[in-house]
Order: sequence, then C-alpha cells, then structure tokens
Amino acid sequence: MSAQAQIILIAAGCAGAVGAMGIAAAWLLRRASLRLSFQVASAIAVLAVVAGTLGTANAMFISQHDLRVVGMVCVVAGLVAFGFCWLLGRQVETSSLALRRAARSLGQEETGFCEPAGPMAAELAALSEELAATARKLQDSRERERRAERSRRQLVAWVSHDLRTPLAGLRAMAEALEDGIASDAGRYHKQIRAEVIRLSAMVEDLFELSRIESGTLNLSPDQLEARDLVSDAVASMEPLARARGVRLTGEAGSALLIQADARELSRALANLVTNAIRHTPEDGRVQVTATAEAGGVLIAVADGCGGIPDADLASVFDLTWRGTRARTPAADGGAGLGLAIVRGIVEAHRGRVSVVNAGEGCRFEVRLPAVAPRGGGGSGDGDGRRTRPAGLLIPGL
Amino acid sequence: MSARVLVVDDDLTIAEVVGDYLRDAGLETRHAADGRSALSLAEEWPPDLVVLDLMLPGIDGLEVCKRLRAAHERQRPLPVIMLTALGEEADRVLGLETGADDYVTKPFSPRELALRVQAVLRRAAVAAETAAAPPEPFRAGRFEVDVAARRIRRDDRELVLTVREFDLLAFFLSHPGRAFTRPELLELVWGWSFGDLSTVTVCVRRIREKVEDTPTAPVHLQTVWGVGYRWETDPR
Ligand SMILES: Nc1ncnc2c1ncn2[C@@H]1O[C@H](COP(=O)(O)OP(=O)(O)OP(=O)(O)O)[C@@H](O)[C@H]1O
Ligand SMILES: [Mg+2]
Repeated sequence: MSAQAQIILIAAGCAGAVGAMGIAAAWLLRRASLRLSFQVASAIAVLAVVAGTLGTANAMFISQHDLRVVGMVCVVAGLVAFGFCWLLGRQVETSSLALRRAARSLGQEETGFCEPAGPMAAELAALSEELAATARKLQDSRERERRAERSRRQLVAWVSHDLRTPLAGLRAMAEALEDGIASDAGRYHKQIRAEVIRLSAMVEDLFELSRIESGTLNLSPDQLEARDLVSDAVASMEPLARARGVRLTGEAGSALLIQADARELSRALANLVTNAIRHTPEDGRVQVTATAEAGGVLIAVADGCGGIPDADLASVFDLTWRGTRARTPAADGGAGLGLAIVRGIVEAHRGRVSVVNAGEGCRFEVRLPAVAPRGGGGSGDGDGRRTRPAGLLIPGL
Repeated sequence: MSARVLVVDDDLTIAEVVGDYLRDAGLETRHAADGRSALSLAEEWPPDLVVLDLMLPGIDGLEVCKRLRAAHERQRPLPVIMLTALGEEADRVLGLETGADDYVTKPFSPRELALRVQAVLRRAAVAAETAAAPPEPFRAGRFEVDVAARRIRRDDRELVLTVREFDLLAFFLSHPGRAFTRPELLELVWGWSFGDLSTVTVCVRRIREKVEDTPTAPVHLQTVWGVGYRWETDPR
C-alpha cells in the first residue's frame, strides 16, 4: 500500500470518528438554538481536522516539533472558525428575533404588521415575504368585515325606521277605529290592509336577502328559455303597468337557453320590471328584451325614467340605497332592497347585472352564461338536484 | 249538509277570524289548538277538509297531517290546506307524500283562505265524480291520450312523463287552441289557487323536450307573448 493511501485511510478513520460524534451531536441538538448548532458545527469541523492530523502524524512519525506546529495552526484555525460561526449564529439569531417580532405583530389591530428590517438570509427573507402577504390578506378581510358590519348596522337602523313608520300609522288608525272616532272607517280599513301587505313584502325581501348573504339560497337550476322567462314576466307585470298607464312590451329571440332557477330568476326580473314601471311616467314605455350575446344571454329592462344621474349609477345596487335620500317611504316607495336582491340572485347564477342610461331612461342589463341544448328527453322533476351557491356577501357592501 | 272544516292553529286570533270567514261562507267549523286535540276531535267529528298550521306545539303539522289522513277512512284522501310561515319552504310541504293540497303563507288574507277552502272542496267533489267515470281515451293529431291508464302516445310511441307533466300535457291536449295564463294552469292542473308560477314555466319547458321535434322552436306548445301558453294540435 502506498504511503499516500495509508495517509488517506488513517485521516478518514480519525475524522470519521469525529464525524460520528458530530452526527450524535446533531441529533442531540435538534431542539437547541441555531447559534449553538453553528458553534458545534465549527468545533466538529476543526476537531475533524485535528484528529486527522494527529492520527496521520502518529502513524508517519513526524517530528515532535512539526507536530507542535501543526497543532498550533489547528488551534488558530479552530479559533477563527469558532469566531466566524459565532458571528454567523448571531446574525441568524437577530434575523429570527426580528421575524418573531413581526409574526407577533401579525393580526394586531392597533399597530398593524411591522416588517422586519435589515438584510436577512434568503430563506428567512422568503418567510418574511410570506408573513407580509398574509398580513395584507388579513387586513383586506378585516376591512371587508368592517364594511359589512357598518352596512348591516345601517340596514338595521333603516329597516327599523321603515318598519316603524307604517306601524305608527297602523297603531293610530287602529286606536281611532277602536274609540269610534274614525271619520272614514272604511278608508282606514283599506289603508291598514295595504300597509300590512307592504310590511309583509318587506319582511319577505329581508328574508331573501339574508338567504343570499348566508349562502343558503338553494338554487334548483333548470334549463330554461329566456324567451319564456321574459314572456312570463311581461304577463304577470301587465296589470301593474296598465294601472300606471305604462306600456309594457317584451321581445326575445328563440333558442336562448340558460341554466337557472326559474323562481329566483323570475323574482329578480320582476324586481327590475317593477322598478322600471314605478319610475316611468304615464304614457311611458318599458321594454323587456332577451338577446344572444357572445358567450351568453342578455336580458335587458329599459324604461322611460329620464335617466339616473351619473353619480348615482354606481350606487343603485347597494343595499338600502334609494334615489330619494329622504328615508320616509313614499306611497309605493320601497326599502331599497330590490336591486341588492337582483344582484345577489344574478351573481348566484354566475351572471352579472349592470345599468346604463340609454334613450328615454335607463337600462338594467342581466348577463347570464349560455348553455348548450340538452340532448334527448328531459330529466325528472329535478327537485333532488339542488346546488348551493358559494356564500355571498350582501351585495353592494 | 254543509261541509265540515277543522281549523288547527295555536294562534287563537287567526283561528277565530278564519272560523268566522268559513262560517260566513256557509261551512261548519271546529277549532283545535294543538295536534293531539286535532286528532281526537277529528275522530268524533270527521271533517271534509282541514286547515292546518305547520308549526304546532307538540306534534308537528306534517305529522298531524299524516295521522289525520291515515285515520280518514274513505276512498279519497282528506284535503288539507297548510298554513306556513315565511321560510318554511312551502313548496316542500306541497311536494311531500303526506303533503298538503294547498298552502298559504302567513301573514295571509283570511278572505283569500276562505275562497281557497271552497275551491279545494269543489275540486275534491269533481275528482270524486271523475274517478267514478274516467274520460274516454281520445286521439288528437299525432297524440293518443288515455287518462284512465295515464298514458300518452306520440306517433305510436309512449311518452315517459312525470305526474305533473302528464297532467299538464293531457290538459293541453284536451283544450287545444286556447291560451292559458300561468295562474290558470296552476289552478286547473296543479289544483293550487296560489303558488310558485315558475313551476309552470319549468314544466312547459320539460314537456317541449318530450313532444317537440325542435324544443327551442316549439310548434305544439307555444308561448303566447305576454299572456301564457297555448297548445296547437295541428300546427300549420
Ligand atoms: N328603473 C329605474 N329607473 C330609475 N331609477 C331606478 C330604477 N330602478 C331603481 N332605481 C333607483 O334605484 C333605487 C334602488 O332601487 P331598489 O329596487 O333597490 O329599491 P326600491 O325600489 O326603492 O325599494 P324595493 O325594491 O326594496 O321595494 C330606487 O330607489 C331608485 O331611485
Ligand atoms: Mg325596487
């Protein structure tokens, strides 16, 4: 065996023994601080060199003097390595401390997220980046939550106002009737009934909104023709239009298929048509149309309201927003829930609703994705096929 | 003898007003405030129709409905009109096997409820008559209708139809050329004097898929713009 091979073997043996100690140390240190681990790593490295050197020196019978020199060199190198690792450990410790502080600030409302300052190892920097992203997400959702909460409080305030106003009238009329001092009892009776009907409608709207918001609006979608929906909406709204002296017309191409819950979508359409009729002056015209559009079907309700002020166009779908800012309900005024419900229903159908000013008035547009015609016979009654839309926030918050 | 109506509701105001309206319409009425007393009252005083609140103390309205019908020993099922509160999914109540013949959502108009009670009683009487003498099978263009066997053939091929689809198609086939509004169809075919009109829209669409050559361009079951639907047996 050549001398060289012998040296390598001996060095490998001695350094290997130290390495084995290192493995044991690593196992023992798995929960220790990074700094201590670095320190031990440097010690192991130096010890391996020293052990290898001593081993070979013994085998090769190097002079005592040379051995001392080698020993001194090893000690100095070991000290330098030790010092370097100490520095490195401190650096890592500082960064991890900064990260810890940053993580603690995550989710704190008063101070917000404080990003760790100073340079950092690549892995730690990536971690810090993640933390910052999470902080931003948290901030966003908190902001959304706050807005929703504010809007809900506003809704409760307005609704209780809107409920109290007719209740005051009801109470007054009921007492007058009870005490027999109503000058026109017949009119009071009629008015009481009308008020109660209006209150019921409002309660029903609130109920629908809460179902939309909580995501418990169960859709039982069916393949429908937009033409039938429009025709049916015109048919059921015709009496209201006639009573108002408004001309209500409809128009739709055939073979415009959509996948929709007939009841919910009819309700949305009815809300739009009711609004249009209400805001159109006598002898005006309301037109409901359904047309094909790239990738979907467009159902539009155009009225003769004279246009909505541009500044208001963005707010009409907001919950409880009403054109006349006064919160006293007009004779047939609503609670400002109608369009929020429309938006909730349409979005639950993966559609979009928007409004533009056009012609004599404005046009509300509902866009729904188209579906391919179903082949062959229809399915059963479909009551079993209920899909649940994802939870929707109250629209317009 | 005038028909007997049993009103079951724990709300005394409602029960009293409904009772007054029904008596005014010439019907005999009794009142029970909960399920148990309703069942025992029905035993000693068998009603022809029950107005039943879904939310009752003790036994739930649907259960009461089931037991009342089980105890009712006649060929025809006992008609039930259910009173439901908002959000109790009234259509579910109608769809169930033990379900009601009609329903009203609280708050409701007692005037309207009285009209409905009379309509349901009338319908029950008519149903009893037709059950005794079912209409003869007839042919209408490409269609052959046998109501007694609940069978409709088109070009000599039998159509696979659900109960409601059969009822609606048979109705259209025996009333060709006339436009019906959705409320009319709901009343005449479903027997509901009130309900979700879109039920009709959906059923029409399904029938078209089974009877039309091109369902999106229907020639038999046509949409009458802004009115409702019409059947044409021999479209030109
Ligand atoms: N077709 C329309 N033309 C002009 N303005 C409209 C039209 N539809 C809605 N608006 C405006 O948008 C507001 C909000 O409408 P929305 O339907 O949400 O509430 P509402 O009709 O006041 O009450 P509700 O529908 O709850 O009974 C209305 O008050 C009105 O000012
Ligand atoms: Mg409205």
